[in-house]
Formats: sequence, structure tokens, C-alpha cells
Amino acid sequence: MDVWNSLMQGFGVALAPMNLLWGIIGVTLGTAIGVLPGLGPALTVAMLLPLTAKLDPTGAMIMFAGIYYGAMYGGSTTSILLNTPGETASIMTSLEGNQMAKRGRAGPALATAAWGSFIAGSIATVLLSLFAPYVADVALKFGPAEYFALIVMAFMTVSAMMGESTLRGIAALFVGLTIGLIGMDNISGQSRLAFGVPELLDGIDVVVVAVALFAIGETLFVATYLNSGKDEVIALKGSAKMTPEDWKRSWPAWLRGTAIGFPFGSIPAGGTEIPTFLSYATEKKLSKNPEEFGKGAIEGVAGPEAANNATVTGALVPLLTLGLPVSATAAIILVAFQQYGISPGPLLFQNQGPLVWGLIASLYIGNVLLLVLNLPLVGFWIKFLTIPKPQLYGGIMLFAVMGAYGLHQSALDIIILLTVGLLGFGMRLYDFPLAPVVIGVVLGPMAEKNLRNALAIAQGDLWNVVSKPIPAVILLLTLAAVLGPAVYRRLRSS
Amino acid sequence: MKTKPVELLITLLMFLLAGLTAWQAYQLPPPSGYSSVGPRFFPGAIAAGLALCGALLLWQALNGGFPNVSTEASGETAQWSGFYWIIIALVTFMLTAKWGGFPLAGMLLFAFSARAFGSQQLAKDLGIGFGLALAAYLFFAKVLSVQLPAGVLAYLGL
Repeated sequence: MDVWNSLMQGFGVALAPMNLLWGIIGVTLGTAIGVLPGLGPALTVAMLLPLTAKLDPTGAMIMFAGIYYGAMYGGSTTSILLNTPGETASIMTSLEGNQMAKRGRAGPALATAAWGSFIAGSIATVLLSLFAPYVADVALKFGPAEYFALIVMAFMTVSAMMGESTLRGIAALFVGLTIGLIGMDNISGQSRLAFGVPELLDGIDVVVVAVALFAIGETLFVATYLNSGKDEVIALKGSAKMTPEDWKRSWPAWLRGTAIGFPFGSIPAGGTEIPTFLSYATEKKLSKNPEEFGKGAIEGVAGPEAANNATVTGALVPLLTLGLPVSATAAIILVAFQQYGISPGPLLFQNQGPLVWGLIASLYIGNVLLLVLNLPLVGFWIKFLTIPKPQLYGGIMLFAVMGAYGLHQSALDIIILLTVGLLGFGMRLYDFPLAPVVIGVVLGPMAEKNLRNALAIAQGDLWNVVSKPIPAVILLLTLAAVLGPAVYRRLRSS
Repeated sequence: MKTKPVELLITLLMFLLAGLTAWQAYQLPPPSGYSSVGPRFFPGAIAAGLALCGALLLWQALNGGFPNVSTEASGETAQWSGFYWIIIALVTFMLTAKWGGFPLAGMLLFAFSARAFGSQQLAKDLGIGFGLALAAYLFFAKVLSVQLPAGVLAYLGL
């Protein structure tokens, strides 16, 4: 069996002492930073990107996978004990988890989140190992027109499905696309939106954009508006163990969450928000004790946490096989690949076999490591939550700026950090989603390149590009996904 | 409901960005030879998209305001001193990083950011900030072989 052999080789790579060490460092750093309130996985990965500058690509990728996963696990601890979800995907977890913690059941809430993440992550990694090579095979037949359609689908669905308003999401996307334009036109070499500043010709680094939006903008917002309130950390008391009853109620929720999460992650249709909401709704509907929901039902933690982890693992399918990131975090990981001159896509499995299978194997190992890190050591991570706000945000600012500055050490990057940070502050204030900006910056140039290649093949006729069968179907699906909900609402109200 | 001036400002900014992008697209050479699309096409399309979003946002702003704006800011009063301290922290870092070195610039960044959140213990914050920044600096230099600016600390042999 081909997949089996490749995977075993992957384990050989991932278990090499140095790579294992990078994996352990990755999950530990990821958990530590993920626990800190206000820091989601996208920012964690962006801040730590310069750390890998001197590593070999395989070690770096394994470390990144660890950070990615670690930040997810760490984030759930915060949302249960502090009720401030670091990202939209944790909203559901905090809803029930925080209620459980308030009723003295913080231990079982944390345990079901960790076990659920472990089980969902492991199953999803198996599915990833099985499906990814086939998707890559199909994707090999895709030309620029198909890619262009897929990219449009990815960024439209990400923008339309995040946040409260489709229009504000799409507006955010176009702002990101504009930032992505800055620099050089990659076909004619003409400068655009660079205004004669030489450093701008290389374009704006997406890491700087991500750090600015997620760290600087967020810090500005909290410093201005949420300065007074004191967050209440719930002490971990009572039994930390799950009772047999808890296990019985968690199991089906984990599995259902995984089943909902993985498909959502693996189609380029964006967002961990919808699968966690769906999982929560499903659990509420199927539960024998629906009255417990809102007051700390364990299924309400188990299901969404599993869905969340299955989604982020599923998101690696389009990332590795098509080179398409469907979340802000995946977009930053794509940038990490590009730093090494590796472009994820259908050829990755052929050209970089050991790297990609080493990465997949490290996901299995990472899940085990994280279970160990999060179950017995959870008391240690909780200490991070008691850091006073001034010092916490002082540290966030220091490491965020270090992440952005460490890349090029240019003062211009700090100016960009400040400018885009102010943009992020304003967007946060008026409830514009931030992830579409990051996706726009990363996917914009890819969309342009594929569109122009497709147009060149089609003798410059746009209709020839979009009317090919596969692109046409993808674009129609996209249109339906974006406009569907609004049309449906209109029809129902009239 | 009254139209909010800030929402009009946001739409104005969208139109300005659209105009800027369109102007830059127009500076690029037109399609030449056989190709009917050139470098102008994609920036032009983005400018059109920005303008369209701006128009739709304007329509929303004039018809009852942006829908479903949910933010924690609504109930709280703004403390702009926190906002300004964060800006001061960043500008200070930018001005001091090269010659002052990362550990010292990072120390000020940390202390001023902590000040934004109401910390009154300047000496303690400077101490913690310096410790963290120095640790990060040494980690970059020794473990990752990435040299962040040492600045005046170079004289101490760091």
C-alpha cells in the first residue's frame, strides 16, 4: 500500500531526534501562547514565524504544525476558564465550558475538550493521510482556470461566512486584495501602489499584516475599550476527572463533531465557525437533557471542540494539495512554506514526499504530545491566565513586534504595523471580520497570476475562462453560497 | 434612525481607496499586442470591487446604519489614554530599535504598553521588559543565529 509506506517513512522523519525535539518545542510554545487570552492561533503562528528562519524546512514545518495544534488546545483552556474566546471557533466551547467551570466542573470540561481534540485530531489526520494523495492526483489535472475558480470560491466563502455581515466581510476581502496588489506586477514587472518607496516593491509581508491586525489592532481595542473590566479566572477545583457518565455523554459528541468538522475543513469553503455552531446545534437537538444546555452541558463542550480540531486538520487538505489556505492560520502556514521556496500544491506530494509525510506523521505525534501536555499539566498553563493585564499586553506587544521586526528589521515594517494596526482597530470597532484581509493578501496575487495565465490560454476571452465546465460549476456554487442566505431571507419575509 | 457620521466616513475611505487603486491601475501600461488583458485588468477589477462595496455600505449607512454591528465597545466608555500609550510605545520602538538595540527598545515597548493598561510601576515594568527582550534577543542570536540590532549594548560585548 502506497499511502501506508509513505506514512511509515513519514514517521521515520518525524521521529528523528531533532525533528521530534522541534515538534515538542512547537506544541509547548503553541500551548503557552494559545493559553494567553486574546491570542488566537493565527497570531501565534505569525509571531513565531521568524523562529524558523534558520531551521531546515522539515524541522520548521513540524514545529509549525505543533504550534498550530498547540494554539488550538491552549485556546480551549482559556475559553473554558476565562470566557474570552480567542477566536470565533472557541465561542461555542466557552458557552458551555465556562458554565461548567462556574459550577465547579472545570476539570471535566478541560478533560473532555482535550480528549475530544485528541480523538478528532487523530481521526482527521487518518482521513487526511487517506484522502490528500487522491485530491492531489485530481488537482494535477487542474489548469489556471480551475485554480482561479477555486481561489475565488475560497475567498468569497471565507469572507461571506465570517462575521455578522456578508457585505462587511467582502469589503474586508477587497481591502486585503488591495494590500496584496502593493509591489510589483509579477508579469510585467511594473510597480503599483508602491509610490516610489523601494522597500514596498517587494510587497507587504503578510506576517506583518497578520500581526498588525490580530495583535496591534486587538491591543489598541482592549486598551481603549476593555481596559477597566477585570477578567475573572475560575479556579480549578473539584475533581479533575471525568465521571463514567461524562465519558458516556462525550463519546458520541466527539465522533459527531469530527464527522461535521472534517468535511467543512477540507472543502475550500472557509471557517471553523460554522462547523462548531453546527456541532453545538446538533448536540443540543440530540441530547436527552436539552435543558442543561446553556448551564454547562458536557456535550456542548465535547462536540464543538472535536469539530474545531477536525476542521483545522481538514483545512490541511486544501492547503497541502491545492496550496489554498481557507483560514487566516492556514494562510500564514502557506507563507511559512513559501519562505523555503516550497509551494504547496499537487506536486508537493511528489517533489517533497519526505517533508509532507513527515509533517502528517508529526500531526499524529503532536496530538499525543498535546494530550500529555494538557491533561496532567493543565494546572501549569492556568498560571499563564493570572498574569496581570498590563504585563500580559506588554508581553504581547513585545513578542508581536519582535515577530514582525525580526523578518526584515526595517523601520518601514513598524510603520506598516502601526497603519494596519489602526485599520484593525477600526475594523474591530465596526465589526468587520479580520481574516478576509489576511486571505486577500495571500490569495490575491495567486488569483491574479492564475487568471492571467488562464486568459492567455483562452486568447484573452474572459467568457472562455469562466464557461469551462469545472470553473463554471465552482463559480456557480460560490455565487449560491454567497447570495443564497440573503435571497432565502428575502423570500421568506415576503 | 439617524445616519452615523462614522459610517459615512468608512464609506468615504472605501471610495478613496478605490480611487487610489484605479488611478494606480491606470498608470500601468495598456494591453499590448494580441493579449486583450494587461497589467491593468486585475487592479482595475479590485478598484471596481472596492467601489461597489463602498456604494453598498453607503446605502446601508443611509438606510438605518450597518446591520448587526455587535461589539463589546458599545457599552463601555473609551479610554483614549490607553490608545495613545500603545501608539507612543510603537513609535518609540521604531525610533530606538536601530541605535538603542533590541533589548532596550523592547524594554521601552513593554513598559509603555503596560502603562497603556494602567500600570503605575514603571521601574518594575522596565525591569521585566528588559529581561524579556534580552532573553528574546539572546535566543535569536545564539539559538537561531538571527542577529537583531544590539545597538549601544554592542559595547558590552553582547
